[in-house]
Amino acid sequence: MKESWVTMFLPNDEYKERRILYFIAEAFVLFIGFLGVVVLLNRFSGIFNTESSYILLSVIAILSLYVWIRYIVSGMEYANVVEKSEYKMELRKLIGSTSKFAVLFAGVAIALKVTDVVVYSWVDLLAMTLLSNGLLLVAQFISLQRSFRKNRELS
Amino acid sequence: MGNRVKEHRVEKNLTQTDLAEAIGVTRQTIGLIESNKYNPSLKLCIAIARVLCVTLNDLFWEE
Repeated sequence: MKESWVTMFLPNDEYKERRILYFIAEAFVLFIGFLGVVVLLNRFSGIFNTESSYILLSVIAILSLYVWIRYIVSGMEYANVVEKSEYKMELRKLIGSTSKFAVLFAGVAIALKVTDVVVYSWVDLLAMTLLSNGLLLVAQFISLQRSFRKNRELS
Repeated sequence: MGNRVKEHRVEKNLTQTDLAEAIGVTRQTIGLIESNKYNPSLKLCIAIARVLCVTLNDLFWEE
C-alpha cells in the first residue's frame, strides 16, 4: 500500500522502509519539541524578536495541522462506523463532544482574561471560541463522513 | 515465537543473498526475519513462501 508521496524517498526494502519511517516520525516529534522549547526560552531571554517567535509558532502549527488534516482526510478515525444508525449515533456524540470542548475552551479563555494572564476583549474571546469550535466541528464531521464512506466501501 | 525460514532456505540450497534477491529485499532483512528480530508483512511472508515452494504454515506455524 503506497498512499503517501514520502514513499518516493524510501527504499524498496520493507524493513528499511519501516525503520526509516520511524526515524522520520521521531525526528518530527523532536523538531516540534525543540521549536516549543525555543519559543519558551525566547519568552524569558528574548534571543529572537517577537516576529521570529511568531514564525516559530507558525511552523509548529503548520506541521501539527498537516498531520491532523492527513488523519482527518484518511477516514480512519471512526473505524467501526458502518451502519447508518452507527453514523447517526457518532454524529450525536460528535456534536456533544465539540460542545463540551467549546465550554472548556471558553472557560479557560475567561479564566486567562479575568486573571490578566492574556489581554483580549470579550468580542475576541467569543470569536475565538466560535471559530475554534466551528473548525473542530467541521473537521470531525469530515472525518466521520470519510470514515463512514470508506467503511461502507470495505464491507 | 520462532520460524523455519532458515531451515527451508538451507534445504533448498539457497543463501540469504539468493533469497533476498529473489524477493527484492536486502540480505539483512532475511537475517532479521530468520532470527525473529523482524516481523515481515504478509506480502513478504507470501513472497518467501513462494520462492521456497512451501506454505505459510510450513514457515511460520508452530505446533
